[in-house]
Amino acid sequence: MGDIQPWDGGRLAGRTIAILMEGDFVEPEVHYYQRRFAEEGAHTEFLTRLWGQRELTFNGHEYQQPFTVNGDLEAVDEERLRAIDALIVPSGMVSDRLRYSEDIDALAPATRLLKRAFAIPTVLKGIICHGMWLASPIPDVVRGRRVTCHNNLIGDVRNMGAAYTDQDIVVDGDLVTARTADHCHLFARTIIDLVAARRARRPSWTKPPVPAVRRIETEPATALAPAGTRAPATTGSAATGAPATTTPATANGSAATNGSAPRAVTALTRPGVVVSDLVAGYVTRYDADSEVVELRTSDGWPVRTRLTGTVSAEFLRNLGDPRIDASAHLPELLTPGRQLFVHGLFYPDDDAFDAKRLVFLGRRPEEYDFEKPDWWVRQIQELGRFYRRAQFGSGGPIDFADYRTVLRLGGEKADHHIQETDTISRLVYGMSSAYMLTGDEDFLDVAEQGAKYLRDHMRFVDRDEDVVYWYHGIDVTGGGERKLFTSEFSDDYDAIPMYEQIYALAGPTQLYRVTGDPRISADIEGTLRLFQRFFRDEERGGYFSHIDPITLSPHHETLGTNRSRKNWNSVGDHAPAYLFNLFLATGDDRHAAMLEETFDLIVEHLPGTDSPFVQERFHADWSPDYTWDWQQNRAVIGHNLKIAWNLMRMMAVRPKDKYRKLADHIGRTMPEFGSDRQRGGWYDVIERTLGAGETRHRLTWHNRKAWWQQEQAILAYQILAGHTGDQEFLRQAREAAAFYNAFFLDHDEGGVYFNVLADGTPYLLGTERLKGSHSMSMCHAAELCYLAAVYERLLLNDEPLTLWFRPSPGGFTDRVLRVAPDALPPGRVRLDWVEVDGRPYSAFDPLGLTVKLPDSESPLTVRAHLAPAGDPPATG
Amino acid sequence: MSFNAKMHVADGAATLRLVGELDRRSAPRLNELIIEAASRQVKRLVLLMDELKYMSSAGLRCLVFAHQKMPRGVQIVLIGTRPEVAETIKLTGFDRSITMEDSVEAP
Repeated sequence: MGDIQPWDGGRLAGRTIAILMEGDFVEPEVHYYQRRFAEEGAHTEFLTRLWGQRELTFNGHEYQQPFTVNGDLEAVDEERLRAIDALIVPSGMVSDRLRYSEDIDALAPATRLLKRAFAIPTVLKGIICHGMWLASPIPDVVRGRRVTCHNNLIGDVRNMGAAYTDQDIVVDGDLVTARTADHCHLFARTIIDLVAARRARRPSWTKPPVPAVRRIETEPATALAPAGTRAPATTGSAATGAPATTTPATANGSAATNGSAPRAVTALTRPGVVVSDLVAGYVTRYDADSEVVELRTSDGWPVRTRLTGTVSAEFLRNLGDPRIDASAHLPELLTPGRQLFVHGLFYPDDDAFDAKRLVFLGRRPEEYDFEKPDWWVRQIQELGRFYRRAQFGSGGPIDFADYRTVLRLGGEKADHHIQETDTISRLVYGMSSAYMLTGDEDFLDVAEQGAKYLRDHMRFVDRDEDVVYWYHGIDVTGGGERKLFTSEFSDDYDAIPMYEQIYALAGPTQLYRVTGDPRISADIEGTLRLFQRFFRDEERGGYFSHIDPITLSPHHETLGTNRSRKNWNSVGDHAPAYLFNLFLATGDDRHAAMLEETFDLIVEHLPGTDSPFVQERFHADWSPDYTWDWQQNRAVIGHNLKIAWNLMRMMAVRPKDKYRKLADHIGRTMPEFGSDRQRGGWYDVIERTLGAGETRHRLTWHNRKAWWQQEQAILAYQILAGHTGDQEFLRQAREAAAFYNAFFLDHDEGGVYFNVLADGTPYLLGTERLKGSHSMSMCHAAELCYLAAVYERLLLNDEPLTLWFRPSPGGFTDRVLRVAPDALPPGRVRLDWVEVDGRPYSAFDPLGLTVKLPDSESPLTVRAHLAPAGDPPATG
Repeated sequence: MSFNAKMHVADGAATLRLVGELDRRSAPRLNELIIEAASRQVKRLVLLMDELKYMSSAGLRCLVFAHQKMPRGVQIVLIGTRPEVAETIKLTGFDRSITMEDSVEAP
C-alpha cells in the first residue's frame, strides 16, 4: 500500500476516492480500485474502524490475502469528508462487518459516516454488490431512489424503499450502485467519469484544507471544494455520455428475467411512454431463435434489441447509389464485432427494444464501405454534379450571374438575390477539389469561372494601401449590382470580419494549386498584406476579428462588441481555410512561418484549465471574452476537433511536441464530452463549464448534429490515426464516418443535409432546410471527401491516389508544380508516375513530390500518381 | 490639400459637388453628407466629379459603404469623373454599381 502512486497527469489528479475496508473483502476488486483510480490520478484511501489500533490487517475473502489499513473512519471530520470526491462501500463481507454496533441503540460508526456522506451531495456515494447492507439501518438515504445490488439483496433494498433496477450499473444523482464485484470495472469507470465531470465545478483557486487526521498516503489531496459548491444531480444521466436510465422495473412490475443479461438503455425517464431512438453499436451476440441481438455501444453500454417481423435492413450507400436491401441476410450479417445502426422503439414493459430499421456498414465485420477506394471520389463527384445542376443547369454554359447563395432542399433557387463572396469561394474550393480527384473538366470550368467572377465583382483593390479586400457580396436584385461592403450577418454587422476575408481565399487558393494562375496569386498576396497591415496585432500577436470599413482599424468604436477582439476564426481558421493549401502550392517559407505563428498562438492561448473545451473569444490582450453575443462561455465542438487535425498537419510542416500533445489530448478527451456515444455522431454547441448540480455539459440550443461538425470529427480522427497508427483514433474515425455516411447523404435530392436530429433523422426546418447557404456551398462536404480520400488511401489503407492538375501557361514560379496531396508526414508518400497531356512524363521528383513542367503555350493536363512509401508508424 | 463638398437637395435628389482631393482625412466629411442625404430619403444621389482631382481608396470606401446603407433602389450617378479617379473606382468594381456619365446635364 502506498507504493501505487497516482499518475499526476490523469484527469482525476488531485481527487480523492475513499474506500471502506474490513475482513472478507474481495481481493481482485480492491486491487483493481487501487490501480484503476491511481491510473486516473486519483488518490485512493482506505478507511476502517480501527478500534483504537494504529492499523489493522484484514484477510481477503477468496485467498485470505492480507491488507493493512490505517485510515480511521471515526476520525473523518466534516472538512475531511467534504474533501472526499467519492466514498465507496465495496463487495464481500466488508459492509456486514462494518455495520456491527456494540450499542444496539446506536448506528455503527461506518453507517454514521455513510449517513453523513449522503447529506453532502458533492460526495459521490458508490455502493456495490452486498455493500447496501451498510445502509440498511438508514433506509431514508435510498428511499425512492433507483439502485441495483447483488441478487441476494433485492428483497432487502426493496424493503428499504429503494427502486430496485435490474441493471449492472445504476446512477441516481450522487449515488452509483453496481450489481456484483464482477462489475467493479464498470462501477469504477462510472465513478471516474462522474468525478471527472464534477471537477470542473470546483474552483481551482480554492486552498486545500489541512488534513485533520493522519493520512495513509504521503501525497496530500489538493483543490478541495468549499461547502455547497455543487448540488446533487437530479436526473439519472451519467457523465459517461450514456443515458443510463432504464424504465424502472418497479414501475410496471415486470422485473426481469435473467439477472445478468444486458438491458436495453433508453434516455426516457417518463414511465409509460414509447420512445423511438437510434442505437449505434457493435454486435456481441445474436440468438436466431429468440431473434435477440445484443449490442455494445461505443462507450461500452450493453443494449438488447429484438428483430421484429417488420424490421427492414439495408447497406450503407453512397450518393448516387441505389438502396440495397439486407433483410434477407440477417443471420449471416449479425456476427459479433460488426458495427451497425438500429432504429427502434423502446417500450416501458420490455427489456429489449424493438428494431425497425438496421443499417449495415459493409458486407463483413470490420468492413466499412466508406473505406473502399472510390467512395469519397464518387461522393465528391455527386456533390459537384448537384451544385453544377442547381446553380447553372446540367450541361449548359456556366454563368455566375445566375449564381445564388440560397438553394432550397432540392437545389432550386430561392427568391433571394444575394451572391455572397464566401459561398462562391467555397463552391470554387469544392469544384477545384472535385477536379483534383476526378479530372472532370466541367468541375474545373465552374471553379475557374467562379474565381474570375470573384475578381470582377467581389474584389476591392485598394491602391493607396496596396491591399486587396473582398466585399461581403453583391445584391443583384433587378439586374443591378449593389455592393455589400460590410458583412450582412448579425455577428459581424457594419464591419469587415476576418472570417469572411479568410474564406474569400479558400476557393481561389485551392484552384491555384491546380492552375498556378498568377492573377489568383496576386490577389492572395494582396489579401495577406491586408491581414498583416490591418488585422494583425503587432504588439500581442495574432489577428483581430473585425476591422472598421472606413478606417480599417480593429479599434474603432463603431465595432461595438467586435472592437479589439480576437477569436478562434481570426487566428485559427487561416490554416485550414487556405494557408496550408497555399503552402502546398508554393512551398513558400513565409506561409510556413505564418502557420507556425498561428499554431503557437493556439497552443498558448486557447486551451483553458476551466473546461475540456478550448476558449474561442478573446480581448486584445488575450484575456478570455465570456460576454460575446451567442458565444458567451460556450464551445463549438467542431472547432476543438478542427484544431486537433490541423495541429497534426502542422506536425508534417514544422513539428513541435506541443502541437502533437494538444492534438492528442483533444482527440482523447473529446468523445466523452462532444460525441453521442450511444447513437453516434457529434454535437454542435455546448456550455464550456458545468452548472450547479450538473454532471454533464449542457448543449446550448439542441442535440442536433451538423454536417460540418461530423466532418471535423472524421478528419480529426483519420489524421490522428494516420499519423500515429493509434487504433482508438481509427475506431473514432470509423464511427464518425459511419454516422455521417449513414444519415447525412440526401439520396432523394442530392447533396448533404445541414443538420440531423440526434437519432439521424434529417432536420428540415428554416435555414437548416437549405442546401446552399453561408457555409454549406460545397465547402466542408467537399473538403471531407478530398481529405478523407487522401488520408484513407495513402496513410490508413496503403493504397495509391491519383490527382489531377491543370497548370496554366505562365503559372507556377519556375514551372514547378507541387503535387503533395496534403501536409503529410515526410517520407510517407512518393510520387510514382506522372502523365502530361496523356503521355508518360519523367521530369519529376518522386520524394519531393514536384513536377518540372514543360514549357507550353496552352494549359497542360497533369496526372500525378501518388503511392504510400516507407513504414507506417507502429500501431499503438 | 483641400477638399470641399457642397450639397443641394431638391425633388428627391441630392446633388453634391466634390472639389479638390478626397483622402483618408477628408473622407469623413463626405460620409456625413451622404448620411444626411440618406436621412432625407432621396432617390438619387448625383456627384459632380469634374473638380475632384484625386479620390483615395478611403474616400471610395465611404461611398461604397454609404451605398450599402442607403435603401435599395437609390441610384448613384457620377458625372464628369476624371480618368485617374475613374481608374480607382474601376479597381474596386464599384463602377458596376453606379452610373458614370461624362458631362453635366441639367437634372
